[in-house]
Amino acid sequence: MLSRLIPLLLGLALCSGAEARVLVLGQVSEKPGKDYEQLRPMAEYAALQLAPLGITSAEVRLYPQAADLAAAMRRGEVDWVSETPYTAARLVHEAGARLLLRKWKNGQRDYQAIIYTRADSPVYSLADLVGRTITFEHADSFSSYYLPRQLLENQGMALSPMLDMHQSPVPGRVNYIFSRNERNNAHWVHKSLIVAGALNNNDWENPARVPAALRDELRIIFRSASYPRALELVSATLEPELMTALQYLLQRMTPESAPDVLARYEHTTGFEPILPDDMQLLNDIYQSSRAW
Amino acid sequence: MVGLLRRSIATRYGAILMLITFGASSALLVFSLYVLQGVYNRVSSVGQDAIEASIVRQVSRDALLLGETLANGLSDPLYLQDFSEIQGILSQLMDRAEIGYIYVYDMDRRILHDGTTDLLSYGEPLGARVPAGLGNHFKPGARPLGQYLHVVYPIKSGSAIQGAVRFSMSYSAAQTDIDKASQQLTKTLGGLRQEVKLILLIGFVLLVLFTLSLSVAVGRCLTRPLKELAARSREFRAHDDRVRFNLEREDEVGELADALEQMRLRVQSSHAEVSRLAFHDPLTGLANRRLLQQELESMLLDCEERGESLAMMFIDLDHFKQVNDGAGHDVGDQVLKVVAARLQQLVVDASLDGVVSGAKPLIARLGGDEFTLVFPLCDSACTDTLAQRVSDLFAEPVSFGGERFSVSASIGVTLYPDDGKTAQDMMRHADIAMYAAKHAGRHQYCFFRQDMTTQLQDHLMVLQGIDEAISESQLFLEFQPIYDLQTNQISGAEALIRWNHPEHGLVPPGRFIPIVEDSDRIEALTLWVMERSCRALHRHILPQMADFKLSLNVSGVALQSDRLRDGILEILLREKVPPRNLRIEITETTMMRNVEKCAETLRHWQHAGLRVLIDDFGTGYSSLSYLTTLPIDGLKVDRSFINNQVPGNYCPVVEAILALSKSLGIQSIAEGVETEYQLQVLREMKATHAQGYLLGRPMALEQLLERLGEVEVG
Repeated sequence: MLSRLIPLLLGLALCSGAEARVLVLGQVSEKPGKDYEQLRPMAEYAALQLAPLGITSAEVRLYPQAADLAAAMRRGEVDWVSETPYTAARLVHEAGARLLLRKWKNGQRDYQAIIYTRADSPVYSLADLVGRTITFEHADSFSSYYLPRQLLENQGMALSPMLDMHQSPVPGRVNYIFSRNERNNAHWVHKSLIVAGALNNNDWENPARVPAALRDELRIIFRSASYPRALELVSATLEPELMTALQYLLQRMTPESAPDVLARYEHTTGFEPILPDDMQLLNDIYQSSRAW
Repeated sequence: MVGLLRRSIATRYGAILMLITFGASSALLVFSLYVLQGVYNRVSSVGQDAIEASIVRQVSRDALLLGETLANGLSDPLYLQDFSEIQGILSQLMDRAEIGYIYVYDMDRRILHDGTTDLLSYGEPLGARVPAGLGNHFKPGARPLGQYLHVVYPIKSGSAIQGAVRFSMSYSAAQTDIDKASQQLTKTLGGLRQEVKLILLIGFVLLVLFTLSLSVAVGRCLTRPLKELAARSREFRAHDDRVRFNLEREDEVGELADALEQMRLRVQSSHAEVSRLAFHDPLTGLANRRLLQQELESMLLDCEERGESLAMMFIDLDHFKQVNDGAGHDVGDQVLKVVAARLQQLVVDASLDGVVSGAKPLIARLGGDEFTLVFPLCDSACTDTLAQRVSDLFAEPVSFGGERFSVSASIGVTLYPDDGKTAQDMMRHADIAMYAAKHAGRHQYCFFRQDMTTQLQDHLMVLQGIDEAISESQLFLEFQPIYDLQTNQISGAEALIRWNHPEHGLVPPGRFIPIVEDSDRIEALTLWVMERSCRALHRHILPQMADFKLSLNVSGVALQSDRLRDGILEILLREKVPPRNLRIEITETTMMRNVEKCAETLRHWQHAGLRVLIDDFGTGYSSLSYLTTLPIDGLKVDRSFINNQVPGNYCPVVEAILALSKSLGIQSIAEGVETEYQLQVLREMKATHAQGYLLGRPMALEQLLERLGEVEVG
């Protein structure tokens, strides 16, 4: 395979006229310091590997909002993005980003949304949540906001955001509030401040996110279907040769061949090709989010 | 050490000063150490309290600041019930070891967060979790309780209090700090205390050393003048006359020095006086025997060095005893003074005449009537002239108090180096020569000759033996009969003394009588003869012949003595001898020596009934006038005249004497009749009495008694 690739790469190099170019890797980040360190080794590795194609160096750019990242992609400032399906949906629709590969972030190929309540709660089904409160993690969260909200709405329930915790729930509606992180989510439910919470199954099972003592007193009332954990996207403007070369490069990386780079890259254990339903999923997500 | 203390004022003084200083310094040191310990304890205690208070205050301030910071940080998360954020904030604190508990609670004091992930205490009342008595739970405060500082700070949202955070902080860290600081303080203070102790000790040692050296220096300073005075005293004692005691100081030592100087002057003055007394004759001011001996030795040495000769003259005044006895000692002293003056004048004159050499002659009075002259001579040939000049000094009688005293002198001359080399020899030989002069008839000078020593030995034998002779009956009397030429009967006898010496046999009277006469033993001898004579008279002779007249020889010297004069009368009385049976024979020469005194004695005896005969009449310088004025019973014609009576040789002197006595009405006794011719002539000349070998030799009493029984001279 390498014998076929090398003439290809050489051909690309010759055709492109060896134009000097910087490869830019982007992401939405609330913790830029941490995320930069996670992304940089992979960006530099890729740039080094793609040097024959004119890539001279790599750059990591982080954006506070998905909208900012989308805008940057539209402007052609970002070549390559690693995101959750929810953000990926926006980038595909708003910036014309193209799906490159599925990423096994944190060793997880996919995940599902979980809705839970206190064990002693009278709530046993999603329908019991009407007139009660639920806490999602974050407005950008796929597993802890998009998926559960879509589930609730698909079942015909109307959701109403709460301004703060002290506000009384609106009757006939499912009142929701963002907990900002998994732990608050669990505590609020556990302390009976909020009736139910939504988390992905990985966080639920992680004692650092949901302490075991708390989980013992909580009860799952609903689990969603599984969704890809993360996606690799490239901008609409990225040269096809570079896109192909990057896709090929990433797909070939395994924990054995490039352990350090992968581990640093959000504990990734591997990449796999985009599945046929994946684009539909993104379209659904985007359509739903547009309605909220 | 005790000996040293006893001997040295400086040491004693230094030791006392040392003891005082040591005692005072020790007391001060102990007191200082005590005070230092007190100060150390107080400073240590106060310092530790201050450290603790300071650290507690600082910790409280820090804790409150932490509380405030916490409260500010927790404000928003609390409002949002953001447990993870709260936990994030609290967990940073929980990680700290010194944090005991930490609680965030609401206005109902129900726990909102305890910092744990599980947050299991949520909703529980705070009171069950924190100690009681922490005060207001919503007012900033930090209260120490037990091992913890309990801090509370309200969490506000705007101006409204929505809860509070409370935590406890262990003091352990602070306590560790306090302990460390305290240890540091203790260490520093301890070091400081050690330093101060060391300084005090060093100061003490330095003070003691300083005082020691000071006391030594002061002691030396004080005793130096004393030692100086002692040294000077020693020098003074060693006869260093240059020594002066003045120290030119005005202190007590100066006073002592002045006193010593006064004493020195006094001693020197006394010494001069003593020396003068010791070496000079107080009466005449001449050198005494001691000085003579000293000076003589040095003069001999000088002469030996210069090769000069030296004459030494012993001058003994003849019969000076009679002056003393007759005119009294005061007069005698004056006479001696005149003699001394004459001798001094002579020395001056002789020096001027150039007879003596450069060295000064020496005049000394040896005592009594003995003088000595020492002449260093240029030429020994002029000694004779010099001796003659000395002898001539005495030719003129000494006038004093209207009286004239004939004082002759017997002079012994000895020469250096011819006669002797040592002072001892010189003096002895001069003495011998003087005796020789005296023996030769006085009033003359005599040069020493070696044969004189034999005479001297005789002289000494007599003088040393006479007392023994008297007490041990070596003496005895012989009696030479005196015949009445008219009756041819023994009318009396002359008692003659004999000395049977145990070693030398019979000593002739002529050999010892003159010597005894010149000594004071003559009195004892005279009295002995008197006593024995009287006894013989009383017991043996008078019973046979009641008108027997015994003649006794009495020295003229004895006539000068009142004691002898009275002693004779006492014996006469005691032995119950009638005075008329006793006749005292006195030589003309001796009688004439002091006529006045002699006359007084004779009259005294006459008054007692004693009779006096003039012995050896015609040999001396008699003044015929005294024959009429003195109580004299008879004249004894000297044997020299009788000896001249030989056939064909007419001696008119005998006849004249006999005529004289006849005309005076007194007896005449011819001595030394040895031939019939002499006896015949005497008979023809009408001599009344005679004695001599022809008529009878001196004989023992028994023979005399026999003769008395038979006598009838044809």
